[in-house]
Amino acid sequence: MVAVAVVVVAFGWWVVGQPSDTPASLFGVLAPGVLVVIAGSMAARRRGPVADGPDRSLSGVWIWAVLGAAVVVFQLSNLFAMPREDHPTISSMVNALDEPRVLRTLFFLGWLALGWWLTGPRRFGRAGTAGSTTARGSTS
Amino acid sequence: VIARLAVWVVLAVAVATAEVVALTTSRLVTLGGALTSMLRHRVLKVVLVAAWLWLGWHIFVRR
Repeated sequence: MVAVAVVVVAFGWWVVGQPSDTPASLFGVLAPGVLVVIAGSMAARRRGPVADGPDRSLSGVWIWAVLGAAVVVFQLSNLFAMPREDHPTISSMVNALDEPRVLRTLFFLGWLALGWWLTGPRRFGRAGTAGSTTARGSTS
Repeated sequence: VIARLAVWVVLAVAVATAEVVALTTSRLVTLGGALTSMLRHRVLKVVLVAAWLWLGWHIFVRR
């Protein structure tokens, strides 16, 4: 496990050091991305079929839908507006924040962790909170 | 630029406020809870995973 962690961190360090828009940087994102999707799906499947729990409360979920839509709309309006430097997007702000390579590597590891969270095994509990013990489910 | 950055700050504060309200009261589902519920549906899960891959490409390849 430690060896895997060391390899992942070393790989992340290597990836974030690659110049943008190169085959190496594309490989550095695509390869672990596809691996995470495959490994996460297999791990979720290994848990076997489990019954869905009861309906969860999704009170106020519309707020997240509105906020998500606002972020997407504003991001796209900035992405296609000119001049680009006057219209900050999420990635341009992140790029400005994570200039130190250590920070950029942490962003990369966080991105991988998010992918595992999305694809890997999970428990469905109250209001869909992962980790709750009220019920278990799997979509894979 | 300042005005657009201010909009991003407002959106970030709104997300943080909603998450705090969700964590401290039961009147709102958390962002993680909302996403987890989306992951129960195969199509939405594919959309979220595709968005995750796009995010990685956008930040680490097209930076």
